[in-house]
Amino acid sequence: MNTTPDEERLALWVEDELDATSQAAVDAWAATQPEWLERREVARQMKSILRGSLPAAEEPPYAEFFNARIAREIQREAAEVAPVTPAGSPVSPMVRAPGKTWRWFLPATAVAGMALCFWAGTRITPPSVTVAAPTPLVPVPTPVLYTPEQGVKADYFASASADAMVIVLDGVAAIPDSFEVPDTASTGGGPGATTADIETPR
Amino acid sequence: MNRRDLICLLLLASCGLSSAQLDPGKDVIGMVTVTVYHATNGDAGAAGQRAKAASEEVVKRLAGEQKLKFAHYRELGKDTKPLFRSYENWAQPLPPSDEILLRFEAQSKLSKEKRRRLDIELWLSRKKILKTDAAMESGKPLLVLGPEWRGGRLIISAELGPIPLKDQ
Repeated sequence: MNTTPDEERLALWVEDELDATSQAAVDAWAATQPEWLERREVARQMKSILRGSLPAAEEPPYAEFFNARIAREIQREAAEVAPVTPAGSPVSPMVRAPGKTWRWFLPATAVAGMALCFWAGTRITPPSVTVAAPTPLVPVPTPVLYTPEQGVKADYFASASADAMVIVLDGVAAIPDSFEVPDTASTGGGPGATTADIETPR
Repeated sequence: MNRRDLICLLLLASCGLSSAQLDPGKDVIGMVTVTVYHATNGDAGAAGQRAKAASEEVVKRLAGEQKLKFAHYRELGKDTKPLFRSYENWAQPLPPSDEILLRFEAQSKLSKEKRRRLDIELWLSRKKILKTDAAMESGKPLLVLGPEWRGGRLIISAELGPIPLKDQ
């Protein structure tokens, strides 16, 4: 026969919450279970410590305030459900139940408030934050070079000393020495005429 | 030609004109200046009377690079042409000769205002010699050490400049 109590009963036994009959039965079983006896002892010690340091009952803070609020709400709801003013009373409905009238104004007021907040939000300009332009960390990739003429080679490098991009062409046919620079070649500073077959936009 | 035909022709012409004016591809987004220098360690006068001495700034820049270092630099010709948003353009630094031509076209913009990658083609003696996609920026020219001529080398400089004020 299995006499081991179930878990729920054991938990109650550890907490000394069982009735006398069950308590006696579990006590008989636990007499041979030092582990469970120790567990109950620890629970009892903990209880005694807590009892010594915590008051048995404590009033919530500002209890009067909360009680008064609750009482007022109960009173208001009771007044709404069953108005006590007799028919023909000179007291106006607004005076009788001011909360009822305000109930219609509240949604409109809330909507108006939201609209006002939205409008105010659009009027507020966030302070301008100056963010330094990110330094270009990625160097400019080497340009692609294509030399369609056979025997022509091109070599690119960025020249720091000249602050320029340099392409050295090798194998290019020399321009004949007989070639004369035309007198019309412009060495001035002004832009020349457009040679593209479209008009320069003005 | 009667009056109705004339009106139709005028309408067609005005439509063509307005569409051309509205083409954003013709927007000028920069200026490209191409200059041809004759660099030599020999006779500086070999370039002829027409050539003029390069400016001190140019000499300093060119002589600063070992590969481009020569004793004398002469400016043979210069041409500045607009860089269009969508269309190619050609610079002809020695007009009317087409011995040296530079074709260029906008390709991509690498940073907000500074660098712009261009398709560039160098044509010498009516042959395409070089094609590249250099990232150009103002104040940083592309210098091409080109063909030999009269005991020296021709240096072709291409530089991207800002848009002229009247086009902005």
